[in-house]
Amino acid sequence: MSALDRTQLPKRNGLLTFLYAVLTVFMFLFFGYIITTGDVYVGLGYSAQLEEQYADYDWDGKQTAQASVTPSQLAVPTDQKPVQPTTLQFAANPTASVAEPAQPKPAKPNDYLSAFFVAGLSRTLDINAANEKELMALWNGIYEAGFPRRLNQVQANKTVVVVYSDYNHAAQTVRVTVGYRVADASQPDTANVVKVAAGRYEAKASHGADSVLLHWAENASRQDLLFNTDFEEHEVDAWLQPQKSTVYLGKR
Amino acid sequence: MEDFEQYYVDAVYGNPLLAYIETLSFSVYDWTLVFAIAFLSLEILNDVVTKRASGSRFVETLSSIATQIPFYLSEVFIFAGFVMLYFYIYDNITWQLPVTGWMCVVAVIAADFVYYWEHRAAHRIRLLWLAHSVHHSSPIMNTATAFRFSVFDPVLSGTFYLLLVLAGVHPVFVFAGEIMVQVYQFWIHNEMIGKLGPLEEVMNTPSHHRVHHGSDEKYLDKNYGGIFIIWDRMFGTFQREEEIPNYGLTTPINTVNPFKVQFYEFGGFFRDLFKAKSVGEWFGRIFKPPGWEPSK
Repeated sequence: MSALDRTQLPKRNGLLTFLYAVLTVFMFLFFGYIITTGDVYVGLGYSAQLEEQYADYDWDGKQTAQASVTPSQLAVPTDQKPVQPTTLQFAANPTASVAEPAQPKPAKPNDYLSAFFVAGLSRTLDINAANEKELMALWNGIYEAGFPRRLNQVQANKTVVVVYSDYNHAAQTVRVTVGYRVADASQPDTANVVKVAAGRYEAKASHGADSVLLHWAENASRQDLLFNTDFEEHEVDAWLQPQKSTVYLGKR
Repeated sequence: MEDFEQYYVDAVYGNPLLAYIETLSFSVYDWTLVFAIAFLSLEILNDVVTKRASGSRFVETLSSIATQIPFYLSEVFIFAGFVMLYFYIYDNITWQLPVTGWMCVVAVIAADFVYYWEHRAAHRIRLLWLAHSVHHSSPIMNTATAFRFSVFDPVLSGTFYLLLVLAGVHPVFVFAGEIMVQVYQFWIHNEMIGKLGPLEEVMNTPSHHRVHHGSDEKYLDKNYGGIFIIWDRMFGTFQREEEIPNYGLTTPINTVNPFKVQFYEFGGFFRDLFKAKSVGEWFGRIFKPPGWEPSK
């Protein structure tokens, strides 16, 4: 091809052009996959079990099965003391964090469409947690499904992690929501930012504040915390100090 | 700001659909960067193998990539401002559209439509061209060109997409649409892919976009589409690729200096404003197309 021939593309190596084409096709398939499944971190620990939970939502954005409550419906009156999660009995069990995650069930193909907008990394989900082991598997699932990314962002932005949830004992269903907020610099003594934040949620009556995971964190062993969270070692140690049930999560 | 962040967490993460869309959008953007590196590597390798590689092409590529630094810095602040503005408006209108999955699909298509007009305005209004000309100033066409942005681009897109919020679309859907349209742009900046058959009729393709970057007379101000090329067909700005274009501006900038790349058009713009002889000419210099001159 002449250098002046502008009716054709410039010289291309056959093999590289082929690789380029394959990569392009792969990219579209890849994006199609993560958009339709929500498996945004392909192969990096996504739990198919979560996907099935999210399949309870439909394209109209509403939950269609199981827990039909929304976060706003979980509101507790401001004058009502939050229910303590005693029913869950989270003991300081070093083995809890290494409990085997529940075996993921293979997702049915038709789940993908119904899960289109709700699978993956939504911050609120409902799951049957019949026992502590299952709940730990849930936590691991959430964590592996992408929260490390969010936690990293949280730390980078000098924010704290807020974990709260609601447990329906009768239905054996737990609602877990993970969010984050900026540390309140105007309250330097409020080391227990998590509790402060949870309190604020209660005060605003915008979310259930039955802090299952918070309770878990309070009762977890040092190994649990180090293994399951992004908290620094000294932060975990601060948490575990006697007389100091407070901890600052994240960095100032 | 802190209050807004709390508000954002409640508003977005309190709704599984919105939380999903938000996370998915940013995730797709992250992955795009991974693919872009792979594509660009193959293009550079192809240049080397076909003996097309040269120092100037390589430096031009680096120059395009370098625009990401100031762009990203401005994006962080400007985007944050638009996020707050969008939510404020959305919360204060009474005609909010439903927050559903289908509405999100509609939002992506609507975002592509808005992008067409934003892009067209960026070419046809000189004030906006100040920003968008940065993207067109590269004389070469590869994946790096897709990331060649002006520090003012976020203002441009944020302002135009505001229309969707005013129409009642949820801000998260607007951002999702904007990101999808932007993400789509990166794979169409190359000379590795030829024509794509029937897809050329509906979708924006590398071929269509090479035309858009052409400085040849017949290619000027054509193919503004983002994801779909149908907007160009509908509004009379479509041009098929008939020969490989000469890329860049009609007046080449002949520099890879990142600062000059960012502000190349500004000098001429202010000179023209300064020498304007009437208010009409002054407005014309600002709002008429690049190259506009007052009639004698």
